[in-house]
Amino acid sequence: MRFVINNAFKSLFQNPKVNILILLNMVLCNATVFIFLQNYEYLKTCFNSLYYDKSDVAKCYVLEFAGEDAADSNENYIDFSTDVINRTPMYEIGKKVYKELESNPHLFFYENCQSGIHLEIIENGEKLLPFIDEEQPQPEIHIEFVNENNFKAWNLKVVEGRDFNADDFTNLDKNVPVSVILGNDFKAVYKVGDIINIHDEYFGDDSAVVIGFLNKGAYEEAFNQVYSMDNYMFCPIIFPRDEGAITEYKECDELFIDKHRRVYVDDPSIDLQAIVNEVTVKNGFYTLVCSALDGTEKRETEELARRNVLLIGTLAVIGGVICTLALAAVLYNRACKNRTKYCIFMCAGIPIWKINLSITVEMLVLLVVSVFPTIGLSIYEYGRLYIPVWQLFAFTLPIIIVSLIPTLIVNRRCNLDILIRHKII
Amino acid sequence: MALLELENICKSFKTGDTTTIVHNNLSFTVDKGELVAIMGKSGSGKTTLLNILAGIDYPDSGKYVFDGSEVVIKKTNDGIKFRRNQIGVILQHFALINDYTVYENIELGLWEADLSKHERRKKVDEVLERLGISDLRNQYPDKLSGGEKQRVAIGRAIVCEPKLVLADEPTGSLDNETEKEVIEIIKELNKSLEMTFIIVTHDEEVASCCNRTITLQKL
Repeated sequence: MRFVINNAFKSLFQNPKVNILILLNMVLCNATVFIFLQNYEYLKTCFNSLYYDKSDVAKCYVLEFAGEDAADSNENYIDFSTDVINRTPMYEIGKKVYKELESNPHLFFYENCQSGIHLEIIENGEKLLPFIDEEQPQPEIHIEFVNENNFKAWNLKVVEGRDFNADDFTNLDKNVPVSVILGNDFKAVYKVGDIINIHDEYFGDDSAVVIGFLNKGAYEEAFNQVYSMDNYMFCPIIFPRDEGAITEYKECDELFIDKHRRVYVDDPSIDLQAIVNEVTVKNGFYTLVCSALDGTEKRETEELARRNVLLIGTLAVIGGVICTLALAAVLYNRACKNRTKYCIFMCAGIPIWKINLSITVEMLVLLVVSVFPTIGLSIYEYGRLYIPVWQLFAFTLPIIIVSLIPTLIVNRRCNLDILIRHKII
Repeated sequence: MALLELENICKSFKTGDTTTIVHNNLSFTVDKGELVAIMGKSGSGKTTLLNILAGIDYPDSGKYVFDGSEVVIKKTNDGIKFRRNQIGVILQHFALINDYTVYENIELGLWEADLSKHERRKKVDEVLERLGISDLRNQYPDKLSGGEKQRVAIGRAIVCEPKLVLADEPTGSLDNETEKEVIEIIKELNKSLEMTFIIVTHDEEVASCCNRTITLQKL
């Protein structure tokens, strides 16, 4: 192996022009593959966010209350909350209607994992000064209220302190501060164990204890956007710490009030409005209106997404083929020029497989180096690597292997006889 | 004591419908420590014989025994294994790698030997000293004269202390004075190291310096 490593690294620095050409080829190849994979991932994410990973969706509806989407209407939300709190007949009817609709095996209620998240701006005292926008008189902080599942689902990692535990989600004692995890930017201001006084118009005053910090660059994808979590505070979904409020929240949730009111059906012939009417008539509740979204927005989006992926995929394949041919040509020419050298190696007793292995090692080193510009660009543009590095390698490695074939064929023809008969000197 | 024995070696090449017989029942023996010249006109099969002796090519029939064992070559790698540490090769055009220094070119002959870096360095230094090219160790071949290049090539061939050194027209690219120097080096190595040399040459003067000359006839 000494020869393999030694020759591979020696060869890397010989013929710099050719090696730079090979490296550029690989960089282009990686960039092409990256653009394809990144777009594919992005389109897949967009598509999944529409269909919530349901492959058997035939039609999609939006349920509206009294002609307005209750989830988007604060007024209706408050009305519903009042209904819940007061246990009005509307609440009881609504609950029945929802339960009956939910039991229909052909209907799928979209359950967004971000359900129950509110982004609020609150005042938080002088300690948040680094986050003050000069144009804004008040310091600001984003708060996300999470349940145990959300936090895990978003794959957020605590790098300092500890993660939430079950007790954090049941701590309703106002004398014990609420556990909070902070985004990495806050490390400049707080440390684990610090107490933060919280004041909010809606939730009132409370206190929180810092239990941990997220990694730098933590993010969350929602509504086709990537949100940096570096300046977020994560609180267990127990605010305001009032059992009644929590029950209300849960009940609103049950009523499908605070969820994204989207319903999928698995059979396009199903008329959701008819089903809803049947249920509501039975209960004396007529205010749910179903608007079909199928065939237009969603199907077009799906079609567009697929076409885009197909187009980018085709371009990636063409780009990959061009890269392969270009790389193979450069490597082939290099091998032809180096035939004498390889014959001399063989003259010195070095078998051809070791020579080929050293060329392969050299190409692998160049491959690893060639990935860095793509990684750098991705981090510069998106703040993170959009796709895992192994996926880049999985696409580029076969290109390198195929490109090496002509070289290996040339090298197979190397032997001492050629050298002795001066055919290539 | 015989180092190699060739017994009834036959070798022919087929080109289309034509078969060219190069060797027909060729037999000879070379003893350990001998310095043998092989002469013959163009097309008499000198290089083919060299190829057979080096394990690059194999005869159609006949027996080739080297150091007591029959040489059977079926694949390229068999030839490489056979040559490794047993046979050194010197070529007319030196066959040096221009990207490698003199030291590295000679060290090439030791890459496949099971030696540490220190041992390799020691051996290469010895060879450089013996051939009088220690001061050129960090030079690249394109900066050397023909005689110096051939010394480096000889150094690479002998550094692994092979039993046999095959030289194909080792003085073919050199002027008379340098030719004499190279022949003297070969003779000195043959004498002091008791290394067996087989030299393929057209040059009577080179052949006259050898213990024995085998002349091949064109068939």
